[in-house]
Amino acid sequence: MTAQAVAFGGSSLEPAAASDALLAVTGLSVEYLTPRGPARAVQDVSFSLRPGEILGLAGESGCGKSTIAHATMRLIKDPGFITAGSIRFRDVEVLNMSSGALRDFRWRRVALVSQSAMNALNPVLPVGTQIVDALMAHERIGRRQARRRAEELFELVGIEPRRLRSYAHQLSGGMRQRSIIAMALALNPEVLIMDEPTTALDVVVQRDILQQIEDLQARFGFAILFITHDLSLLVELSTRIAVMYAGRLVEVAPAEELLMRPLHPYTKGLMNSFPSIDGANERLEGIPGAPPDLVSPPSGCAFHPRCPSCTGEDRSLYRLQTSSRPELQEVAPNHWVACHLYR
Amino acid sequence: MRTRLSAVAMRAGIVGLFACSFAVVPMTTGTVSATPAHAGGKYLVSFANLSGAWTTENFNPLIPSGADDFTRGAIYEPLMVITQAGGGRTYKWLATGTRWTNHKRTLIVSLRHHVRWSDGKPFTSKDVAFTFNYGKSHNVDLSGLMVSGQITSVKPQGKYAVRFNFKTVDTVVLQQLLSAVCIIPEHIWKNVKNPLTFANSHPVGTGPFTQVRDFTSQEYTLARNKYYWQKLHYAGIRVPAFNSNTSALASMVKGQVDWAPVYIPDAKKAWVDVNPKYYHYFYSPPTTPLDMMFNDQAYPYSLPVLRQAVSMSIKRGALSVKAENGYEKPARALGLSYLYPNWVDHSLDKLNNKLSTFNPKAAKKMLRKAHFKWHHGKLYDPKGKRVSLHLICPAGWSDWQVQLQILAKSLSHSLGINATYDFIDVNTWLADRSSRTMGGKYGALFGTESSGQTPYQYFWSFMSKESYFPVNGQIPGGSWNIEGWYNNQATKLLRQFRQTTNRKLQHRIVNQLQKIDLQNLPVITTVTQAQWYTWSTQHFVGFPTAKNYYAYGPGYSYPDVVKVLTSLRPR
Amino acid sequence: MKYLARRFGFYLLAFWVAVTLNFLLPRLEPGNPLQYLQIRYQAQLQQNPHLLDPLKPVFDTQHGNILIQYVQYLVNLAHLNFGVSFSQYPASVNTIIASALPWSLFLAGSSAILAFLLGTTLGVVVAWWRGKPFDLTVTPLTMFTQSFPAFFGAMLILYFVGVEAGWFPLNHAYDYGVQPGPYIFGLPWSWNFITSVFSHAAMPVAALLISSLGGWLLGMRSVMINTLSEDYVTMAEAKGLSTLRVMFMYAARNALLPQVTSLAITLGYALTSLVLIETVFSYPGLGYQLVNAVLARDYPLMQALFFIIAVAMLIANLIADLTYSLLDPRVGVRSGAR
Ligand SMILES: Nc1ncnc2c1ncn2[C@@H]1O[C@H](COP(=O)(O)OP(=O)(O)OP(=O)(O)O)[C@@H](O)[C@H]1O
Ligand code: SF4
Ligand SMILES: [Mg+2]
Repeated sequence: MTAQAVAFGGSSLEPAAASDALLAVTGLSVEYLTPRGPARAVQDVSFSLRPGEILGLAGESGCGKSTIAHATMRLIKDPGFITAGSIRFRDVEVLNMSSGALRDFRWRRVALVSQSAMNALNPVLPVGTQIVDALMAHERIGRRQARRRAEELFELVGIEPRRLRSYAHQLSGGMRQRSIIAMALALNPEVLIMDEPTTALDVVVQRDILQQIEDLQARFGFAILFITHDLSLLVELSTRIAVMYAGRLVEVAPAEELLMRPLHPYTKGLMNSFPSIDGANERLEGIPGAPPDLVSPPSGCAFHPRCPSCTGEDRSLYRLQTSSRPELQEVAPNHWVACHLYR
Repeated sequence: MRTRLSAVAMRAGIVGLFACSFAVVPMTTGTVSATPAHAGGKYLVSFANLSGAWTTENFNPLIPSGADDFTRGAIYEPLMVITQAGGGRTYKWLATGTRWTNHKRTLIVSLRHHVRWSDGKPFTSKDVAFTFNYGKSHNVDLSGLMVSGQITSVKPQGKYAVRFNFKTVDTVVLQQLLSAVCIIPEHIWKNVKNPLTFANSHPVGTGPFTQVRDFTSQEYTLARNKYYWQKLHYAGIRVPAFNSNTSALASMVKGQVDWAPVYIPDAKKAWVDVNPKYYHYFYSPPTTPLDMMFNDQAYPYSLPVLRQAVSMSIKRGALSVKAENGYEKPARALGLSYLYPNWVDHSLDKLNNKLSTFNPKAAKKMLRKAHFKWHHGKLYDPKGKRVSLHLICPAGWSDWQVQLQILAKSLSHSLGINATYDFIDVNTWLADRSSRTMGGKYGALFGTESSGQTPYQYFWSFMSKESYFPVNGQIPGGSWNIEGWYNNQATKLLRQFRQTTNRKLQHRIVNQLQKIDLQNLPVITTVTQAQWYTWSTQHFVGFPTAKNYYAYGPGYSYPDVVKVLTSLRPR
Repeated sequence: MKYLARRFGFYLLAFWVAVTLNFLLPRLEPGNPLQYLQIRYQAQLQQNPHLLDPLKPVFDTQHGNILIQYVQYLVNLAHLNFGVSFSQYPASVNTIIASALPWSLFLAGSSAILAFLLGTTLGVVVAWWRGKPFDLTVTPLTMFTQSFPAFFGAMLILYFVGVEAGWFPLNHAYDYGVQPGPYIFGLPWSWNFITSVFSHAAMPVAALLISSLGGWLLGMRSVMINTLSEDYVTMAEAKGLSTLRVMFMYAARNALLPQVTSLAITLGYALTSLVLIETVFSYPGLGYQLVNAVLARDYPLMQALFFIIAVAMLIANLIADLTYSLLDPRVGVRSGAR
């Protein structure tokens, strides 16, 4: 629906640009039209995903993670618009695809595990039908065959195949999530976008599923864009991590590097709000303040109103922080950060 | 008279809207032929009632329901057609003459020869005698004379004459006897045990169109009686069902209906102008006037002077123009004036004029003389009570509603009467009417009187003690004497009238009755009511018109309808 | 099961209330059929005051203990014996209903189904392309046509399409004289008859459509817009399904649920507008009979007609309930958990 031909202007910044990238997003900007004016949900975001890689995308609620996920599959709907950028899959521009090519690209190349499993499943269709639908939309197979494929997929994610006939409300949360993963795997895609796949689940189920995702990934070798607001999950799972604030990437680094040496004050804040590993305590320390208004974000560094390093003691730094937006820069090998502290 | 109830839903706004829309856009003349040429000639397309609803073939002339539109008239005929139309006419029909004998205790009716029933059997005096006797024994006496005992016996006298023996001398019943009764064949009806549940699906009558064909719930055909005693010029009648003006009017303007009893508010524009060559209407006067009726037994409306003053304080012209589009003319205080012009006593013209003319000054003078008083313009009766009047009519009867508003306004303006009005549910209104409660002590409503061959019926229906019934009483006969007034002298005069055949004497009696009427004004006339009907001469000619007013025009008028049906000719 | 039993209980109660009201209403109303006849035959009565005398004993039916009357009424109802019509005396009410009911069912049914299909489909389409020219023209237009009463639209159609353009017959259910032809499975199958019936139904159905289309369209549009923002619709798109499949299988199917409930309400509405529309087109259905019955104070016929309307409404609601639980798998469980 948002088949927008966007002039993809070159952003000079390609923090993880690599010639072997499967998926390369460059300079992506997305706006939602609101009565108060456009909300810039995603601004000038660039990242790439290599085959078999797990890229984590973290950030507070409302920072634009899902928007990136949807934009990648060209799913942004009115009142949202992709205003700039380029999304290339194997060097083919997704934003320029014909509707037929787009349909083919979706799910076969890139599949989506959408944010809430409950809402992502159609309540009035049996889950099996929803998997069969995906199969039949892409492959020349009969219903019977598709059905058998679906059974295999269910077995793969550890659900009894007879549950294919169930409706979403008849499944447990974990089963729902697994059936969506099964659905996402139906066409053996090269990229899986997982938008908070475990958020609503209790910790035990969450671990199970994460384990399963890792196993499946090891087995099939797809790349994952793993979206979460919970940085701790990413640390275990992903190869690289991108941290997002107010529609922009603020730090990108290999997982261990980020864990050992977080640079951006916001990343540090997120680190401190890790839930303890046994899940006993929800938050050790949150980041004070509220996420910014995307219609009229703060000047300069969008994080400055909440930034502990923005004290005003250093007048010239303060002026910079409040008037000039820091750009992503590679401050260490493969470690990119957008903060005036690291000039 | 329009069939008020069936038109209620559609009347004012809807018909108005429709009429206007027809008026604005000129019509191309209808391409649909109303009367497809069948073997044996054309069919007249007509309906006699705007509440056409029939499911079963029910052509029983003795009960007014079912597919009754043309049963009386097209299938069954009277002895004579007696009508007030065009000043009063009588047509000999199954009977050719009458003669009183036995000191006016016996009427001998001579019958037409060579008349046959539609099954080929001959029509004789035995059928006529049977009809009356059957009416009495089975309580379906359409004349009312058998049940009341007024006629003591009916006997055939030879093959072509019938003797009616009367209990008392009563000469005014001729119309009821000759014109109201449908003569039925003995050889069929003698086997009918219960006439009320007898559908009579295959009617046998003497009328012109007796064969029921292609009967459906939306239309049926009455085809010609091959034994009919007169020459017939067309094949039959097709009767389509309608139950709204809108629907009927749409078919009419398309030329699909030849003759219809339909009221069109702006008849010239909405109907005639559509196809001026063929389309006509005649909202024919005069029938009985529309009257404002008080409860004449309740003080102060029991005082003739108050009623006379009221009559002089209303603008009848305004009522006619504003409420009735001028189709119903202003009445005269003497209701007889237009109804029986030949009976009017012109020596009373002055009084009639005085009471018919709007002159509140004179009215007030009369009231003051009778000890009515005014305080601050408000009228008080001689007992010192405020004079009030509460007028009611059914909600939705828009022309009456307008009349009520005008009346209430002018009575309070010109006389200071505390006049109010209310539009009420039609059933409440009907109940108030038939129980004579008129919506309260000082209520008034609209009504009409009866009419017959002579003014006898008219005066009887609102001045005789014989028609009087008390408040909350049972209505005898029809629904007459709603105002509840009678006068011993009038009662006596009326009795005299029916005991003589002497026209001169009858005229003298009517002159006296007119005087009593004017002096007392039991009811206050407003407008002369009209009968609504329209016709198209595209396929048929010979309908009653203003120039040739030989019978009442609407198809529901029995027995006039049989005269019209046999007078029509295909074009 | 418990859910169904509960609903059933509700419907039984509603049924009883309707039936009892139907018994009481004519008895509370003033006036009687004879008075109506006196007005209708006023002109004839002037010439023949005794015209109505034979019917007096027949119409005087409401006497005796009201409880006994009520029991008698219930017994008759149980036998579907509605008695004899006053206004079409001595035809039985059942004959009248039998002749009128099929026409009304045909009219109401075909217009309701057409309105549902057309309105819902249009609703889906305008919701999908909301804000686009098609939405901006069709939606306000149907809102407009829906806002005026059904009979008004009927009159306009009668005048412009029937009288002026002359495209369709002005009244009745089929051309007079057309033979229904051979009956197969109880239905007439003559080609002439069928074409005649359809051309006669065209204007009444169009009038009903015009007045009810907007409701369907607007209802579907608003629910659809909500549904379109649901994750599962996005998921369906992400799956690469065709637009039509996403639109109808995923979005419309869910949005349809509330529509099904309103189907019952619309059916009731269709019945009431039928009364006026059948009158405007002199269409020989229940509405036509009802107008005559009410005007004539024909209590037996009125009672039967109101009874049929009440039963039809209840059945429509029941069907809506049942379909709802069929279409929405959640309904059964939710009530089971209650
Ligand atoms: N349809 C929409 N209309 C207007 N604004 C929207 C719309 N969808 C999203 N937004 C705004 O865009 C911003 C990003 O939304 P997005 O859903 O991408 O956030 P998120 O990072 O996925 O949050 P969460 O963790 O809560 O899922 C939010 O501020 C949100 O208010
Ligand atoms: S630029 Fe300044 S305000 Fe922004 S994050 Fe870095 S230190 Fe904080
Ligand atoms: Mg999200």
